[in-house]
Amino acid sequence: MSRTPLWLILLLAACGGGDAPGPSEPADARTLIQRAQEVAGTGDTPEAAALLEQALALDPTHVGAWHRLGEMRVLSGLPGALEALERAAALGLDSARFHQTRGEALEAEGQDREAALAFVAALEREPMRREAWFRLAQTQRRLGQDLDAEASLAEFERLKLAEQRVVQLEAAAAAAPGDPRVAAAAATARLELMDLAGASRWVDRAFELDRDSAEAHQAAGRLAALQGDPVTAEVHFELVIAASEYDPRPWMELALLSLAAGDSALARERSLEATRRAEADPSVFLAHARVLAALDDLVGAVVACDDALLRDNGSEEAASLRTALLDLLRQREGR
Amino acid sequence: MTRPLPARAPWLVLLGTAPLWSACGGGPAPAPEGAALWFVAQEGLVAARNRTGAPTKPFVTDSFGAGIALRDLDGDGHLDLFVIGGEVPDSLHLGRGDGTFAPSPAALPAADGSWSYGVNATDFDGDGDVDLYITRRGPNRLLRNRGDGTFDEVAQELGLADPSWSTGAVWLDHDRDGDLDLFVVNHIAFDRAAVEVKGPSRFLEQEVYYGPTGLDGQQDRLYRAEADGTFVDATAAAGLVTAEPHYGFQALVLDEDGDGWLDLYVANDTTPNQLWRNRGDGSFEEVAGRLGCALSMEGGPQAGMGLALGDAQADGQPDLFVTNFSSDYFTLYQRGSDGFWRDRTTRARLHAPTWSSLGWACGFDDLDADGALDLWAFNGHVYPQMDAVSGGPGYAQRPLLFRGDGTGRFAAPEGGGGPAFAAGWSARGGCAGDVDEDGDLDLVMGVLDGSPVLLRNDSPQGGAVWLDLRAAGGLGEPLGARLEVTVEGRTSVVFHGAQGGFLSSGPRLLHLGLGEAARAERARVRWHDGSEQELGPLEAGGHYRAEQGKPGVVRVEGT
Repeated sequence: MSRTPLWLILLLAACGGGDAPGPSEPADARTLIQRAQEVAGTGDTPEAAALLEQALALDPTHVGAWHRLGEMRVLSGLPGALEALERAAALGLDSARFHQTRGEALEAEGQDREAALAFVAALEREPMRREAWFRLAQTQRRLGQDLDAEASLAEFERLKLAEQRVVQLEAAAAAAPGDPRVAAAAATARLELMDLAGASRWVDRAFELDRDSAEAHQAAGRLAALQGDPVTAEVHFELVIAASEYDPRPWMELALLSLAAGDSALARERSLEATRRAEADPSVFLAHARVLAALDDLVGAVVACDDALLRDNGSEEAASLRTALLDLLRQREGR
Repeated sequence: MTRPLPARAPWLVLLGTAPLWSACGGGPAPAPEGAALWFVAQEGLVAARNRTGAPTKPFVTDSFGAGIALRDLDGDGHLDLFVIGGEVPDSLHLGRGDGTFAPSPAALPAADGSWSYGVNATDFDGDGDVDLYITRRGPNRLLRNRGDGTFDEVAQELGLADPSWSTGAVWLDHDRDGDLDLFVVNHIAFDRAAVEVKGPSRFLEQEVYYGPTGLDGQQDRLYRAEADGTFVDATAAAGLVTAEPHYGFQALVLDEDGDGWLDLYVANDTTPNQLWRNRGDGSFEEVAGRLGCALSMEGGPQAGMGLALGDAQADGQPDLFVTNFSSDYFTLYQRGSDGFWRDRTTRARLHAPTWSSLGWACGFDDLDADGALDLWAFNGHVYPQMDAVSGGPGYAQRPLLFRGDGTGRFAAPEGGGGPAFAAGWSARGGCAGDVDEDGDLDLVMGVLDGSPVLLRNDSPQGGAVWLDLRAAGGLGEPLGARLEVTVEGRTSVVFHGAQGGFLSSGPRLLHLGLGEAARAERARVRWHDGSEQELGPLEAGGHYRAEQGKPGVVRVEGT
């Protein structure tokens, strides 16, 4: 069924609200841009482009309006989209959204190679831009880069699932407003999308409901790690361990913190601790394989992949990592 | 070379009873000076009406249907109109050749109580007359023509009474064994009691029917024709079984990769569209995701309803148009010479103009015979509750008309296309054909819970050629053939018998607009089985027939 497209959400988010002037009032650039926003919301992108052109005639230094003009021209099939985006770039615009729009304009012109570079630039700035992954995959396929396309599509699918998880868990949290575990799960889902602000709200909510919730500490630890605060993160993970001795997750999180801190021995030790608690969970062994690979223990990483595959024979991730590791080992051995 | 507008007065005389001119307050408005496309709506075309569920549409089963067939069913040379009744009996109306129809005096074979949704009118057995395959929520029907517009019910006997809720069925000789096989698109498994438990859904703050999301899709089926004239279910053998069946609506036949084997494109509601590529050994592989024609430009599935196939940018490659839900765009996919499909909706300037509509039947047709394909789409929302939404999409919706420029771009015609495109309907089915035999393509609209409407073409016309393609042997219709036509040095492709649209079936006569040119200097057909044949030049105003294996063309009279 119908969905609100990403471009529209972004456009509405980027533009502030405001009342449109009456027809008899003289329009200034800001008013015209607001009117363009409203018109774009109805799907009339050519009219929105026309309004933005009028606005830019009054204020040619409005970088956001140049960008939005580029977007509207892409969506309307109008010429001059790339020119408008170049004006925005000349005024200093370098955002992920700008690069994605530029990729779309280049794609529309049939310039797939340049479009792919623009999508990569967008993703370098915001790796969670799901639509950019899809666009990148499409251009990579056309360029014959099938393996890269598969990887881009996998990331697109991962983000799609993560977004679906957020929707499901937030609905569950609304249905069970007194359950700290559900609030913590919603926080974890937001973290998958690197939405730190959203995750922070759910972590706060989980702690409001239960100050000692292990699930809340687990989410809070990961949030702190992503915010660049490893000390706070360690405290939260230690509290999870204290609450649940057999939970492998805080050990793996601690291993990753040690890895980031450059303490290889501690990273290996903590990762092993995680696997001792993993039992049938293949994802812990897969994470262990990644830690070992990062520590350049390729043989150990292959063994960890085997452990993961022993627990889930169909794990494509484990199989693909194992293949890559074996290729690397053969290269090193000169075969 | 343009032709003056057809005279109007004979129309009014021939119609006998006064037609109800819609949307123009008492009489057809004349086309303004310079208007390239101009259509006038004629309601009251036939007395029959479709009725599909309650007016409030409490169930998904009530939301679509109203297919039509516009073909010569009694062999008198005039187009007849078959109307899908839904929960009331289907009906046949015999064309007089002047844009009017009379009820067929012969009764159709009686049906069971299940509802009908769509119809495919094809000479499936190659005996020279057009038969009717009717899709239903219940066993489908096959009405075999006795040759005079009367019919025998043979679906059960031949193994084609698919019991699922079927939608857009298409015929094709997928294994090139010289007979037509049938691909039946199926929609969802509907259990009213279970749906009532799930309760209504909400859309734009309104309570609306539940589904299709949350219900199980149904498997599409391929029925292979056997030597004895019966059919067997070859779905699994052909590799067409999907792990999670889609909510199928309409299929279309084309030789996508030009390898001489016919492929299938399927529009699915809320689930990815599929492109089944024929491997040439009787089986298919799904390639839409890989080639770029499964999803929207944002990577999401759309609500694929109707399909059109044409060479809109005259580059020799197929273009696909898919109608979708409101608050989304109708999608134009163009195949590149590299084999990948690209979403060219924005470049074609179709993104914004289709955003508010919920579309069904559609077609690429050269409605002014200027040599460039135009595009039309019939619309109507599924939720009557949309009328209660301030500023919402509304339940009855205007049809859409776009004039093509021959480069793959489209624009609304000056004057909007005439009064027929200013009024709203609950349109679903539809097809193009020269109903009044004045030499241009009219449009006929199937209306949900209503009676079909003729959108009479009063547009100034360029020169045109009409071409009837006949297959060799006992096949009859060479469905999936493609014609390469060169006019003033520019070559484009015309697709025969793709059977797209929405649950409907139009004439198979090819209409080639020539614009100012006196002739198409070259025409070459690639038949449904991959064989090729030169047809030679075709003169403007000519009506031709080409038969597979016989060089050149035969000039015939009449449309």
